[in-house]
Amino acid sequence: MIASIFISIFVIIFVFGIIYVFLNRRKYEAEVRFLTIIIIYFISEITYFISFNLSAEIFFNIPLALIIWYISIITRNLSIGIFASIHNLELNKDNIVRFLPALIYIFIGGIILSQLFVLDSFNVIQKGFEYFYLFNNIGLLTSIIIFNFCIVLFSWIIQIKGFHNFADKKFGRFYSIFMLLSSLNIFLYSLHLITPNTYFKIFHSILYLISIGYFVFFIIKRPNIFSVFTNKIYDLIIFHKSGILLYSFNFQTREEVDESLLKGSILIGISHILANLSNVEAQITHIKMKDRTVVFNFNTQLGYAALLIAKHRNKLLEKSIDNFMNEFSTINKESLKNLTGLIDVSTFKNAKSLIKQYFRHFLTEK
Amino acid sequence: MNYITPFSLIIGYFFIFSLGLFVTIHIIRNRKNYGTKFMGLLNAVTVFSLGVIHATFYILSVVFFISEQINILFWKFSILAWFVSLITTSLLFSFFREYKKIKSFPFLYYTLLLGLLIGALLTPDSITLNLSISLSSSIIFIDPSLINYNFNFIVGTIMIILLSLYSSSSKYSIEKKRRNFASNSKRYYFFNNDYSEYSLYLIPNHSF
Repeated sequence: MIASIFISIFVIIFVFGIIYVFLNRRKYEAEVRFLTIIIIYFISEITYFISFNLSAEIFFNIPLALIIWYISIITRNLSIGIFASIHNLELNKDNIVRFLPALIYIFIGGIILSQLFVLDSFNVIQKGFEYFYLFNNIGLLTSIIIFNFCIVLFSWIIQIKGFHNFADKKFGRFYSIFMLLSSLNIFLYSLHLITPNTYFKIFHSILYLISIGYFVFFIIKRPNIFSVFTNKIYDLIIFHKSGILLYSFNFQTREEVDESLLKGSILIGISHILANLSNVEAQITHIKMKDRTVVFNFNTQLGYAALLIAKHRNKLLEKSIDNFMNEFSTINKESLKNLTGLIDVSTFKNAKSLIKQYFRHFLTEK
Repeated sequence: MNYITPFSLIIGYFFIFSLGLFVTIHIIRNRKNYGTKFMGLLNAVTVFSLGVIHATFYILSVVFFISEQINILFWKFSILAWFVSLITTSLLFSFFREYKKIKSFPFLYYTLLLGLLIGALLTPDSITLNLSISLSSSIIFIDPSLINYNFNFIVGTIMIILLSLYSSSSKYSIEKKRRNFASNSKRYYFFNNDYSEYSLYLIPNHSF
């Protein structure tokens, strides 16, 4: 009975979220690889919560309930492992040991998987209308608890140390709240595994639904969640091949600027590239600096280039700049072709509306 | 009892142990000559793990009988050391595909397999010991042919998967850059034979 209530609420939240995202899919942009991982994560979460609740139902016979319980353990570890790994990798992007937390999770995950093959790992007991699972295999219980502990510990360390890496600070604060809920959730889940107690199970399920509901709410409210986790755009600069600055926009102040913030060697380099614009389209795509990347996009036919200064280069950003350039070229084709004599750069102010259209996800809060 | 085999093994062990220790120290001291420091470190770990740790535990588990539990423990440590050397060698081969760049995927699947193996070795009765003779005293020098270790299904399966992965991934790396790494191709075939022979020794004792 309780299981069916929890599952129903869970399904309602998820179905509502999926329908909303599907209907408003144009608002959401993400890299295919990232999206695939997120889908795997959600499938694991759905499988976990349903199997976790169903495994307690005495409607099923013990062998079947035990199989469902095994599925819930595997999917639980998979889902929290995936989520923590994405979070840790993204926030630790510039760190030399960024893969270490993920490797530790995989290592302990491997131990858990092996331990699940041990026969008679669980003792199934029936209390009232529910099944409860007592661990006979202490190795399995210990490895699950260590796994949960590592996930909470590493995630908090990385969240606190890497908070400044969040492009959108509001998203960072949201994530801290979500992590607090998840940590409590993991704590209650661990307590339920150690002492199979109805209250821990109910509290875990309620908190789980609150966390998932909160996450779905945030996805609906902030469509840029998948594109600007830690990435940030600083400037967009459009140059003519003669070296004239056509347009410049600062994403931090959200204002047009009259002069480029680029200085020193970068400016010299860009001038050199622009001077040889006829043959650079396929040669240079970006310059990687310590904490920034300059992404280039050239239009040799109309003789201009766009430079985007961002934290990291990714496919999403490249796609946005491609679309921006295509639209900019279409709108300003005539002006760019006749750029001789008296040059009026105010013609290119129309770029601001294109920025709002193609880089809307990156116009984040400070 | 035949003492020629255990004595030969012990003499061989001292030779391998000394050589392993010498090579490890040499690699650490000259680690800059191995491409990158990290590659030098991986080379040192491979040699130390195979020539020193694996050899020591292997000899202790097949030439001496202390007690069933201790011998099984030594045997497990020897397998783990062998596994670590296999992982580091595979990672070294993965560098051939893109010099200086650490490939994350081999790291991930070998870490998963290491976790699986340790988990499997921690389970009770993952390895059992069969002695062909009855022993009177507690610590005894024994003919290796009289002592046999049997694996359960999971440990054996993980080993087979690991060897297949090792063979395929290292061969892939070598074949892709064959022209640039002619000397390493020889090293690959040498290592591959070594690991295959060890696996052929392990797998028949695997109870499905």
